[in-house]
Amino acid sequence: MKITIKRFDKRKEPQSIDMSYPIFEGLTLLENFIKIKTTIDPTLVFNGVCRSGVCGSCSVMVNGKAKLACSYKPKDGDYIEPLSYHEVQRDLIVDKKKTHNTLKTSHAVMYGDVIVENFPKVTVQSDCILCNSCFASCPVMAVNENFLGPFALSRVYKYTAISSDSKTSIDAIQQNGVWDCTLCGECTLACPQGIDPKMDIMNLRSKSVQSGYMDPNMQNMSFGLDFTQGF
Amino acid sequence: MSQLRYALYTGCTAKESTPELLSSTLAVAKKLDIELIILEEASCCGASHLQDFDPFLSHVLNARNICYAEKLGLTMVTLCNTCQINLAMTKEKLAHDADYRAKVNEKLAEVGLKYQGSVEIKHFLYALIDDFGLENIKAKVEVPLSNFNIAPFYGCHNIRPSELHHKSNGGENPYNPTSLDRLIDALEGYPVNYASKNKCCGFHVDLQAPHTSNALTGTALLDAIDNNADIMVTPCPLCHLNMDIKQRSAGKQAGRDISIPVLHMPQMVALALGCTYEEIGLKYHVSNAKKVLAQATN
Repeated sequence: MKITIKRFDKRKEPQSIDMSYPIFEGLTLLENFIKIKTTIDPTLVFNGVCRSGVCGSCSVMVNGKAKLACSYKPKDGDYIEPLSYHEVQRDLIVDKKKTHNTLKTSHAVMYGDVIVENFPKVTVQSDCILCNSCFASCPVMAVNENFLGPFALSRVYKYTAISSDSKTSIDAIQQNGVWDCTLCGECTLACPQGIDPKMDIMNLRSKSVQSGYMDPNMQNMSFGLDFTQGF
Repeated sequence: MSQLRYALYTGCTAKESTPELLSSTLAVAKKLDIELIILEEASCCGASHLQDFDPFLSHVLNARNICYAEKLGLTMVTLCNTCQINLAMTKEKLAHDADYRAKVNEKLAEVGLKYQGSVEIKHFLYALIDDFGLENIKAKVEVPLSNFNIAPFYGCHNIRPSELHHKSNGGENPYNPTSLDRLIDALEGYPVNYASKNKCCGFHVDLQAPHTSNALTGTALLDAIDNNADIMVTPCPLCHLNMDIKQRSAGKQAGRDISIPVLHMPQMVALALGCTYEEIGLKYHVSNAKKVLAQATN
C-alpha cells in the first residue's frame, strides 16, 4: 500500500521527482503527510492547518482531482500532486497569488449598499474556504490562462447578489469571464463546501444580460464555417 | 418482461441538426420492443442559453415540456445531456420551492396545463442500461462490435452535478463513469479507457471562445486516438456536434491530423442490433463514419 507524491524543489536538479511512501492506514491524507514527515522523510513540505475541513489550506490533486487532504483517506496507488494551474513553491505548496489576482480583476468586492434581505440567497457561497479546488478543476484554465475562473466568478455573484450596485463587477467579467465558461460543472463537483459555481456563473450571465450585455453566442449566429457543414 | 413505454423528448438537435440520432433511437426501440411516444408538442429546453435571458421563462418552458409526459403518465426519456440537465434542474427547483411552482403553474394555466412533478426524467442511455438491462441487450446483439475499440465520451451534463443526476443515472460516479463502458462491453466491443472520457467537449463556448473549444475538443479526440480508439461514441448530440464537425479545426490547432468516426450512443446500439444503414443514419456525419458498417460486418 503506497502513495506517490510529486516532489518539487527549484534548487535541485532535476527539480521534480516522484517519490513513493507507505500508507498509514486509517489516517487521512494530511495525517499521512504528517506521519511521513515525522517518521520517514523530514524534507516533505505541505500545507495543512485546521485538519478538519475548515481552513482550505491542504488542498492537493489526488489522481488529477482536487481534494482536501484532511478530508480524504488515501488508497493504494494514489498519485498526489500540487494544485493544478498554480505556481509550485515547494512540493505540495503552491502560490495562490494568481487566484487572488482574479478577485481583483473581476472586482469581486462590495459596491454600493448592502441588501440585507438577500443574504439568504448567498449563504452557501459564504461558506467558501479558499481552497481553490474549483479553480484547479476548471478545464478552461488549461487553455486560457486569463480566464477568471469559478473561484472569482462565484465570489462576484455573491457580492452582486447582496449589493445595490453591481455594474463595476458585471462590466469586469465580460472578457475572459462568464461567457468563457463551458458549463461543464467540474467546479461544482470539486467544491468540498457544496457551492455550485456553475450555477453562480449562469446567474451572472442572467445579470449581464439584464445589464445590457449580449450573450456572444447570440451575436455570432453565423456558426462559422465548421458548423455550416453540419447543418 | 412487460413492454417498456416512455414519453420521448427529442429536443431540437435530434429533430434538426442530427436526424440520425432520432432515426437510430427509434430503430433501437423497435428492435428492443420499447414503445417510445414522441412528445410532438414539446419545445426547446433553452439549451443553457435561454436561462441567461429569462430564467423564469426557461423554467416555464421546461415545466411545460414535462407536463406533456405527465399527461401520458410515462417516464420522460431524453436524448441529449443538456436537455436532461435543464429538465432535471427545473424539476428540482419546482420540487423545493412551492411558491415558485405556483407561479410557474399560473403561467402554465394560460395554456391549460398544470405541472405536478409526477414523472421521472432520464436519459435514454440509462433507460437502456437500468430498465431494459445489459443482459437483455446482449441477448439481442446480431452484429457484435468486436472489430472495434470504442472510446466512450460521457459529456458533462449527464454526470455533473452528481446530486442532481443520481436520481436518474443509477448513481454514476462522475469521476469514473462506467455506464457507456458497460454498454460497449455488452455489445461485445472493446471499451477504451482514457483520461478524457468524462471531460468537457467545449461545445458551450464554441461561438464565443473557439480557441478554448477547439483545444478541449482536440485534446479529447487525440486522447481517444492515442489510446487506439477506432470509434468514439457519446450519449450527447452537442458533444457529438463538436467531436464530429470540428475535427479539422481542432486538429489544425493541435498541429495533428484528427480523423475518427464519432457515433451517437443509439447509433452504436443500432449497429450492433443489425439495423440498416439508413436507420443508423451514417450518411449524415462529417467525420468519415460511412465505413463503420462495412467494418462491423467484416
